[in-house]
Amino acid sequence: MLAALAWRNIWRHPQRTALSLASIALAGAITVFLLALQLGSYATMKESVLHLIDGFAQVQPQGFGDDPDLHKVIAHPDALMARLEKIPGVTAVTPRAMTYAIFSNGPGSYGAAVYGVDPRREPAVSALAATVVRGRYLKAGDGAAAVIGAGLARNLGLSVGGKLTMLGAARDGTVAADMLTVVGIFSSGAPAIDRQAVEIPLARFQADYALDGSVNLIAVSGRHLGDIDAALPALRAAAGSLAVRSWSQLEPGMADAILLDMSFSSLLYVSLIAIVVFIILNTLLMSVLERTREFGMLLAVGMRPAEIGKMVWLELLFLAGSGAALGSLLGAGVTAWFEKQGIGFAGAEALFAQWHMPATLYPDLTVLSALAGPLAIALGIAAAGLVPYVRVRRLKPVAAMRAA
Amino acid sequence: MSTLRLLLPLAWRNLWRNPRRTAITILVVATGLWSILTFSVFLHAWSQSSRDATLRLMTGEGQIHARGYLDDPTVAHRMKPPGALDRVLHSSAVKDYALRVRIGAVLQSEYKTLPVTFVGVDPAEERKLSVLPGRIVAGHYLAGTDDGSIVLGRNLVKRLKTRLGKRVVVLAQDAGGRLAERAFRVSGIFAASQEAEDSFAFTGLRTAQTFTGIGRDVSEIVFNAADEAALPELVKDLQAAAPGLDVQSWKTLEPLAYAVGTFFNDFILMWLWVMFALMAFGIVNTQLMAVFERSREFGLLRALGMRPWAVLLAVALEAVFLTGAGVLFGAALAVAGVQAFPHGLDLGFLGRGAEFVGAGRILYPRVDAGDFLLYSAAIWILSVLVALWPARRAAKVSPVEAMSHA
Amino acid sequence: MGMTGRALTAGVFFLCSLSAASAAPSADALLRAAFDNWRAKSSVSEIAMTVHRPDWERTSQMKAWTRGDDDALVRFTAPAKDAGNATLKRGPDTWVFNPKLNQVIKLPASMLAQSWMGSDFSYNDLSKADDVLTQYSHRLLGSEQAGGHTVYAVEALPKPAAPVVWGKIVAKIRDDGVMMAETYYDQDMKPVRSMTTDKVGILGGRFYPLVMTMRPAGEPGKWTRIVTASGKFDVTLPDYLFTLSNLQNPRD
Repeated sequence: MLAALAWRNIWRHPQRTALSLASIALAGAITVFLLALQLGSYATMKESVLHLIDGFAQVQPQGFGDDPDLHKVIAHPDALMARLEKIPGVTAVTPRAMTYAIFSNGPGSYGAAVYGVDPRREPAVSALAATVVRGRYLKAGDGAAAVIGAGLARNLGLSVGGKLTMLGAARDGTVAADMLTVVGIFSSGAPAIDRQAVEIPLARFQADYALDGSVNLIAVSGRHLGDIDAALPALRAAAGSLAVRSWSQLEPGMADAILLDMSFSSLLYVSLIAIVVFIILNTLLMSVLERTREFGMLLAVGMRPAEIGKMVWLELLFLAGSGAALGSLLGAGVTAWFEKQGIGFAGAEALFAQWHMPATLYPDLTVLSALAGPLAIALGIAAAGLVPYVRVRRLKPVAAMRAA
Repeated sequence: MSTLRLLLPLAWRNLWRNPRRTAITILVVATGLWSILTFSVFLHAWSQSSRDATLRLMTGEGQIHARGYLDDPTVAHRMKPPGALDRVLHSSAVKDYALRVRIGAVLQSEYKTLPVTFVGVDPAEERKLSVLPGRIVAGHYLAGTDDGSIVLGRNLVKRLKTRLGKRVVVLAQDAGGRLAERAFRVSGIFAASQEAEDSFAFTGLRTAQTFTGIGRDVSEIVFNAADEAALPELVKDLQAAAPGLDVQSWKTLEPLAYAVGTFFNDFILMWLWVMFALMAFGIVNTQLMAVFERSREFGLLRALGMRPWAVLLAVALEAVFLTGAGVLFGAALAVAGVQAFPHGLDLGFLGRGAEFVGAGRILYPRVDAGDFLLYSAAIWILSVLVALWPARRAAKVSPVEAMSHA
Repeated sequence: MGMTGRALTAGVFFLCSLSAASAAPSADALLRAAFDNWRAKSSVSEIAMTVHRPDWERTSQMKAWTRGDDDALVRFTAPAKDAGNATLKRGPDTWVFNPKLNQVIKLPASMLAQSWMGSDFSYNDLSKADDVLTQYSHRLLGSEQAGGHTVYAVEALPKPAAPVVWGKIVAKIRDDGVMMAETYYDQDMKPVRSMTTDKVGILGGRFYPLVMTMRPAGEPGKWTRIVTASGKFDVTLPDYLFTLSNLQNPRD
């Protein structure tokens, strides 16, 4: 019965209630949107960095991650790749082989990392192909072709069409030597890569380095990083005795930075919610306290103080609950719309294009982002609502009825 | 004028007729403004701290190199210490600067050989520009430019299977393009992000110069400007003083950090707008409540002959006092909050381990007078306007109707 | 025995110990002798190198010329895949030649620690083989008898500012100068790798370590073996031999 009373009380002052509901809903909606936007920008940052070369996850021989070595191989990659491709969420799979070799063009020689890649599959996983500024990327059918970083090109004095000498150690201990033609020069924006990376066709790499069809790792990509994260158990099962490295193992520095940022942001969100609760509560308190006369009357006709207190508390609860629910829906709606549209950061566009990061952010609507904020607000109000409850309990009928 | 003289004391006394309402309104306005100001201060401090984490590692606010050095960081691309540059470097526009030898090299232990960036520094100058000298976890940092020992990152020490006090050998290309090698004793170990620990090895500047046979030449000059805002101009001046060299600010040296920083500033603006909207809503709510419940009072005043505009004025004056008090209170609290952290706020307790953060993420909150005045004025004006709007309606309603309002 | 008898015995012992003391060579001399035995002032030799790993094994043949302690040329003759590849060391510089590329490439510092032809030796090892002579101070540890010869143990400790990573090297050298073993220790005096001589025979008119095996410590399935098939020592070598042009266009 108290509940029914509480509910009717709320609607006795429709305007006031509407206003309170609106503030709670607005606060809730805003937290939904902000959280979704924050998670979305982390996702964008992760995907952009991983998409450059790493891929969203990698299958590697055990121990390869900590100590890369040409001798650590995946012997029969084709069967494994077929299995990986079948996993839901995986949209692209590409094999790679890698080692360190000497590159020269005439007198100068420089050490650099050389990657053997599959020109058909690689662009789906790595955006490096899209950063080629002169010439072209590798394509299927290429033989003695190479794409090199802009920094290395400058150091060696090479341009498209130039001849590049590669000297390294093959897997069987013999000398791996080859003369390649530079077909493209890429500029990824990361100086370390531009100075020290060369990509050649996988078939050529395997022949030069006596790999006999094996590779050093398989990189995996999907439409969204979240898809691949969800598919990790399936990836591990398919990989068998091989190791599967997730994004945080591929880019531990970025993982740490995001963690720190999230910790700080959590502080912000908590403060935001605390402040919102405080402000809303004050207005609710105000309207409750001015009903002292009404409470006095209720006490006079026999209602117990505890019951009045509970009634008031229930009113707050209904208000908070409906407001939060409304806010969650509103926030989810707005967020979902922006998730489709994306939000442009106009000023940053030119800058971001250079780094192959989209200047458009997509908020990430998940159960967490849709519910966390509004729920916290509702709980906060419910908890803080104990204050008026306590005050109401202490009312004495006559004194209350004489209140202004 | 006479109305004003009547209304002012009336407004003042009205405030104290209902102390609870007054207190709550002041509290709400104060909280609203305080939170906007505090958020603004801390978000900016956070953004600055992120920037510093990069700049105060090894980058500095700007660097000078010989042309071609950035592509091929060896002593083949070195420069003579500043001659023409000296004037600019010693001017008041530059806060600190340091000379470095900085080359790609190979570090060898009994068990492993790893590539590293070998840096010869002046420890005294380096301390002013980089946090690494202060991040020693074992042994000690370099004593002077003649120090012939080496300071390595913790993770590198682990991978090399070496230790404090043990000997490692550095192999690098010397001035003649030939191989130079020298043994160094590990005298100190620093902790920072894993990447930094794996990347850098430090020794004394003169030691590095002698080792590579470059005499008094250096690889790079790193500098901090006295005034951040004047950095672009400083870079221009330095470039003009040394046209044959390559002068760049951190924005082009660390473009990713710059992109992320710009990105984040947009974020801050958005956060503040959001806060503003929320606070505004809260204040609106409070004011509306206050006005609605005074309908009877307004009705009475109207019945007594007060004209609508006078009622409005009365409400306006009240609002000015009330919200003015709230604004002052909120702003004062915000300023006090900033003063409470004269040495900055250490966020070490956040990250998984303060070490990976490198700079030991300290926030230095700062009061930006311009921002503070702007936000305070905005909230004040908003609150007053918001009080006026429903009051306008209430004032226009007929007295009888208003008075019959419960 | 009687006093005279005792005095006589003491005198005999004293004389013996004197001669024994003068017979033991100095540590420096021993090492120098080992190097002279191994490389002499110049040498031409044919060598087979076998690299053994847990899952494979490869043998290649090469011809090597050395002059003094500084210059060395190694050219592979078999198997076909390796034939023609050559490495030239002149003073501190090292170049490699590859017949397929037909190019001479100077080895950058970053590649020096890489393994030489897949073996347990690095390019650095080849160029710094004489380090033990020049960068270390030597001490005679003791001697033992084996196979009719006296084998001396010499301890080499790095000189104060020497650019070497090892804690110490212990070499076992036979009285005729044949190097029997060389063990490398880390700075905690734990063995890291060791080279042992498995067979000694006559080569070029001297006793020579014909078969030597390099083994990393604690990795039983990994080793590299050098078998010297023929050798001529202290021959006159033409100057053009240790030039870059000869590296690329062999006239040897």
